[in-house]
Amino acid sequence: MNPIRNNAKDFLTGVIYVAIGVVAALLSRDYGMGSAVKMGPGYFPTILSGLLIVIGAISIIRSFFKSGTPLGRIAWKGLFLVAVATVLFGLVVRGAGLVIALPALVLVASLASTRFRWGHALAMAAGVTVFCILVFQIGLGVPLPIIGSWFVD
Amino acid sequence: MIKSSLKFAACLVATFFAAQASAEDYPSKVITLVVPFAAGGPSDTVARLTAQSMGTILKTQIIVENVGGAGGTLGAARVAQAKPDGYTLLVHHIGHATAPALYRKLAYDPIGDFEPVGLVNDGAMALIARKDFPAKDLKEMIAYAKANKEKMNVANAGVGSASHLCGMLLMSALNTEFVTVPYKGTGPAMNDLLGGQVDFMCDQTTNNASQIKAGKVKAYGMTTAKRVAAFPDIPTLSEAGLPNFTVTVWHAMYAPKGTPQPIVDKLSKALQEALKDATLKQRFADLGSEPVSQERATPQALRAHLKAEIDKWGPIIKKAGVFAD
Amino acid sequence: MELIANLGLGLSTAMTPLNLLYCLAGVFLGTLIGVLPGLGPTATIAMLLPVTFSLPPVSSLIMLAGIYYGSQYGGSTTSILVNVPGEAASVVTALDGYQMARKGRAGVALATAAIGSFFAGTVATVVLALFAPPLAEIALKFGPAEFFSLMVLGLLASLVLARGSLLHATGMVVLGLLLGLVGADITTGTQRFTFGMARLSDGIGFVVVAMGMFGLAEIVRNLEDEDDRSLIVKKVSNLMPTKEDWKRMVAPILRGTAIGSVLGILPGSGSILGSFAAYAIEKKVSKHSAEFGSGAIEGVAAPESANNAGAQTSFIPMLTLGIPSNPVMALMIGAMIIQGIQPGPSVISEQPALFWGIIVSMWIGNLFLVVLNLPLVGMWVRMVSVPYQFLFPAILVFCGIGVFSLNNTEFDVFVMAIFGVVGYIFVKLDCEPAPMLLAFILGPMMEEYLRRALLLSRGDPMILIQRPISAVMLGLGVLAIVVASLPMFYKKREEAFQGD
Repeated sequence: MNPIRNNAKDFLTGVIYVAIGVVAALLSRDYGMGSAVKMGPGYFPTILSGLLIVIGAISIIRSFFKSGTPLGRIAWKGLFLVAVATVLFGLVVRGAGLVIALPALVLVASLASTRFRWGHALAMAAGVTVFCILVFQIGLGVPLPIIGSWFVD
Repeated sequence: MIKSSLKFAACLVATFFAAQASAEDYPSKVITLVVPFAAGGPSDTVARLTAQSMGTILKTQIIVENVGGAGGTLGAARVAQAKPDGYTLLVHHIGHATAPALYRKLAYDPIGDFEPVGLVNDGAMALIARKDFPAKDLKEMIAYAKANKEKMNVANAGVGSASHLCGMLLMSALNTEFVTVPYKGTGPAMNDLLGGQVDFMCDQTTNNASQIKAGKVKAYGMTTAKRVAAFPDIPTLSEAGLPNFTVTVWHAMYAPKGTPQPIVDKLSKALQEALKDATLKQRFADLGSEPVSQERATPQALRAHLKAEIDKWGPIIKKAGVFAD
Repeated sequence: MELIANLGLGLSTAMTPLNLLYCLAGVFLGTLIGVLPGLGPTATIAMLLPVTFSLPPVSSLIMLAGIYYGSQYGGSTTSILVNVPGEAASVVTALDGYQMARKGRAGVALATAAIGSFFAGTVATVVLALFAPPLAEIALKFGPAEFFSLMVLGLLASLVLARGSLLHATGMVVLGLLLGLVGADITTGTQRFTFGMARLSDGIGFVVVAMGMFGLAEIVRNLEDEDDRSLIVKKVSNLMPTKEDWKRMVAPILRGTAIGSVLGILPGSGSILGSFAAYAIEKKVSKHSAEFGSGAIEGVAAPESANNAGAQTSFIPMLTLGIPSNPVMALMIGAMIIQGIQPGPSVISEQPALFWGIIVSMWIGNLFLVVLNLPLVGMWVRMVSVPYQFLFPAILVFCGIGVFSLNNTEFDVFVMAIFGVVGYIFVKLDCEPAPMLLAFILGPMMEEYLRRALLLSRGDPMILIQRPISAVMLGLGVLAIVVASLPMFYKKREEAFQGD
């Protein structure tokens, strides 16, 4: 029986758990185990990594014997654009300021929608930017620059 | 493309010089004062009281930002790397002097990476024990603790904290060892002391003044050279049986290295002014502490004091074989 | 009666026009920062602290307290409407609240949260007035061993939160525990899983993880099929609870209030554990347990009541012992000291007007919250029916600004983006984030308490069962595992899961 086709959820989850567990266990080796009496910083992480590997392994084994529900549609475009929009915001907010970072976030994120229209998105970007500057920057005093350090002394 | 990057670089350079040139009209915006400990703790309180008072004098808002963690070294590191324009400052305690001995991989140099502004206060510490500790004075307490050495638990507020330092000094003075129980800050440690889970702790009066006054803990002595004004009945540890046992938790203010001298001087003046404030004095006194004298709230005095403290604590910590990393 | 005299004193303090105004300002501001994801009470109170210096002590503390419980309250709004929990305690509210909103019952969910919070706030205020000092003494009996056992019980209960595979839920709990360990170790200062990044040495922020795994992941999930989502939101039913709803929420509100009040007193984890525990227990005892996770009104009523009750009772250790049970209380203590009030056991006797004034103001504040928020329910509900292509970029903007302002660093924004991607992957794999988040909070505390308990017992693990409170809690934990592994129960879980 092919686990990828019949039980991708169990199989992939297992692989992820085992992978994280192995990496964590390897890292934990440097932290000093100590003893049960005087536990070192590596004691807890090592036990947890081991547990995660075991759980992952069981999940992989199970995927060979038991079929599960299919993965369903994956919103690759949405996932990519939402992540990119967020990272972009983080990259430019300090340097360029809210007037650039907010429209950038809104426009890039809006591209992910199947109902994207330039006109709507631009209006949305303008509205959100004005609202946020009024509420967060002026109203609540959140220390975010309206115009960032790249453009102002 | 290249043209625009050049423009961008020029912008950055301009920003840099603009910041340098603005010493005369300093401060023209909000100053961030980094406290390398959690909000609500004793250092935080000292810093906030000082910030409030200095803010009024400098006619600007001084925002306290708590950057806790790793015995205050994270917050200090942030200030060491901050732009030296006088808008990022640090208030740190005695831990600034002990960090070089406690941390093998310290990300900054406590002397070389900072411009000292001035000392702020000297805080007393009190040796306190759980309410039902079977000893009426320090001599009895020491005798009991030594006789029941295996059972004793000494709490502290974490590796490198003032209470940790005092605990180490105590064990070295008594020439014995107790089990040390570290906590994440003073609050939880005090919680367990009140609940009788641990036996004693030596911590700043800022933390335990109210508990001592209410009789929730027993106080066996103060770590200062003279009795503390707020607690005239509590002897100093020196007079009660531990000669020369003095530790004070001093706080001081620093700016990042390279902060223009006129700005440092302005800050130092404001600090001296702030320490004269009657309300601030009263609040400090309530906490069993007092502001330093005017001539110690200066860059020169702090530089000398910091050096002396680093030289004092280095050997003690090395001898105890303690590391925080 | 002394109590009546005391409450009278409190009433006369809290009812002055000035204090009423600051109370209103506090709860309004609290609601606002609660509704805006990411902006938490700790950051807001720290920012506002200097402003309060110029106020009289009572007014400033009344306002700060109002911000705190107001934000606990407001946090549920975004959880219900758009699945973005801005507060740790609102994570559980999102589970069923958001499902209710998807079914067009956002109004009912919001109203339930408001009613539950108000009731819980009222009861907790009475508890505070009647039993504050003795309760604080009881809380002191909780040593490291008791706390460790409480956390174990909490973790086991968190498995009940999961709807899907028990195996995967367990994995998520372990993963959450591991994530919680990121940062500097308390005992030795060793940097764990930080990859040399100083930013990680204080650990990963809870809100950052929660907004990524819930908020961002949910946006991506909705983008899978936008038509589907629009269809769901269109059929908005009545705004206020029906007679049937009222009947179903009474018991959960009572239980939630009790659980929240008790756990709120314990330092550290109180109000967070409260909402998780209330939800878990409700799911076990409810006649409608099959509906949990797909929009059960009990799943909103219980945790919201617990959350608000806990927010009130967490003032007990602070007011009676001067010990902060969470960062917000630590700030309140700082505020008191700066105002010249020595927090500690003497506050009640030396500052009775302050003590009772704050207590009475809490009840008034809760009343303000209901009056302020019930009329807003209609507006919030209309907000959800905004077409999704406009709604989700706005949610993203709030998440971005909120997370940035937590520590004023873009680093947190990047971490949120990573957890958004991770969260979506886990959604696709039917691995639920709620148990992971609870473990994430409890993990480091659990390790800390266990290591401390063993240090105090000189390495003897028997301390965990020799101390009665600890033993009882571990016993309950074992019982929970046994029940969870019973085949009959397992079958019921599967059925419940397939039912939605």
